[in-house]
Amino acid sequence: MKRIRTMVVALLAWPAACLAEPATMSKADNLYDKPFADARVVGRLTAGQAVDIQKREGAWYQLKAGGKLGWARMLSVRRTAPAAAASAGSVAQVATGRAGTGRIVATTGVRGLGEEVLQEAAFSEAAVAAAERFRVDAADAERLARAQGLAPRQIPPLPVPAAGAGGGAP
Amino acid sequence: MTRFLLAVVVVVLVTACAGPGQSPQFGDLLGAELGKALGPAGTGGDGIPLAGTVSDADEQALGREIAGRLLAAYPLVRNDAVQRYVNQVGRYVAAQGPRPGLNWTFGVIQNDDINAFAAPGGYIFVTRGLYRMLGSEAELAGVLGHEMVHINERHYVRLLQQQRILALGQEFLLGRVKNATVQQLAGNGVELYARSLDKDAEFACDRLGIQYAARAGYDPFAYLAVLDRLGADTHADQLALLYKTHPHPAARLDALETLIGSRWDGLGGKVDAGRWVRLD
Repeated sequence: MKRIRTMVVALLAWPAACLAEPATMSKADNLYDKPFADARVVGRLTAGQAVDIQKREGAWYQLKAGGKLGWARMLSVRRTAPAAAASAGSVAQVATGRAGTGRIVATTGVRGLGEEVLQEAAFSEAAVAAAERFRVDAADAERLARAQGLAPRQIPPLPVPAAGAGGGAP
Repeated sequence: MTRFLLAVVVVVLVTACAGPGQSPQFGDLLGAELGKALGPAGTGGDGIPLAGTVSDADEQALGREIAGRLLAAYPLVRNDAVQRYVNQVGRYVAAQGPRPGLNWTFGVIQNDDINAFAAPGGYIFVTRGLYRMLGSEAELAGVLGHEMVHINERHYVRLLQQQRILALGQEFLLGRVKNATVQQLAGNGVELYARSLDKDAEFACDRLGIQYAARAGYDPFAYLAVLDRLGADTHADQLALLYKTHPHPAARLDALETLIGSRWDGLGGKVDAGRWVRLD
């Protein structure tokens, strides 16, 4: 139990320690003194501006930008790839690849989880039964979650993007 | 050194094989399902025949067959604590979705790629590589939520339909191929491995998956942070499949930004629930 606590503490501390990462503003936004939209505006961030992420709280990143410390919506910020220029081309190409009109893209050369391996794998009753033994009853799962301070909550649905709009993607 | 390589590779693994070792029951199931899908029940707006209703039992039988093949190749990690944990979290998040009654089964499999799989009927597996790169229960909840949407929205059915179109060609659409031929084709195997869905399906999984996680009480932005870290990662080897089968993380974040805007500014939610199981 003590060991588990230690690990939990370590994990809680870990993200904070690992942040302070370089990022770029994906759009212009305000820099607030607190992680709320009605907090005081302490600066203005421009699209493309380099910033440093300190930590995250819900929808907000704490940023260091132009010598100021403040908060901005995380969705206005993107972490910067260490070698963005080198990888951007290949990534962009595959990310936009579509095959013909079917809008279905076959993956070839699957790594690790090999296509060939899967094709040759025979069904294993023992393997799937072993996995099914770990199933948890819905009521038990909720009871256990509540014991950790979790509780289901009502949240209005997000808007549904127009069909074919790619969910608002470019 | 902990790398901030993170991932959500979502591959809906739809394998409808009917090879020599195939049980007749499965072949029949697929044949019957093909018949339903390609029957004279009408077509969608794009001319692709729509599937008839597939029962939960049919879905689970199909998914179980797929899961049994995946697990034969990549067995569960031998760590009961982590297997129980992903089932506890997954089952709780699944209860916030539209199909809480499925026999949801979750697992961490012995593979170091960064990947996750959803099979019909409620089977979801994440690789050890992916699990190790997650840092909180809220991140796990978001990843599992994304996978659940593939199952809840029956994306694989659409995939099977499209694949059938490719396999059977125009002949079938014109009604020139008789049902016996369909059965034969099913018997020979309609194989779909690690194929990507329509990109819109992936956006839908992001959009709905974070809502399951948020309704379960988690901070949904934990999942967006996963995407953000992934987008900044350059480990092409482990991410090649992701980029082939999914829109780039930056595009996915852009899509979510459009939908979320300032709506969830003060939503909050749990990040860690104090029960994370570390996998060494």
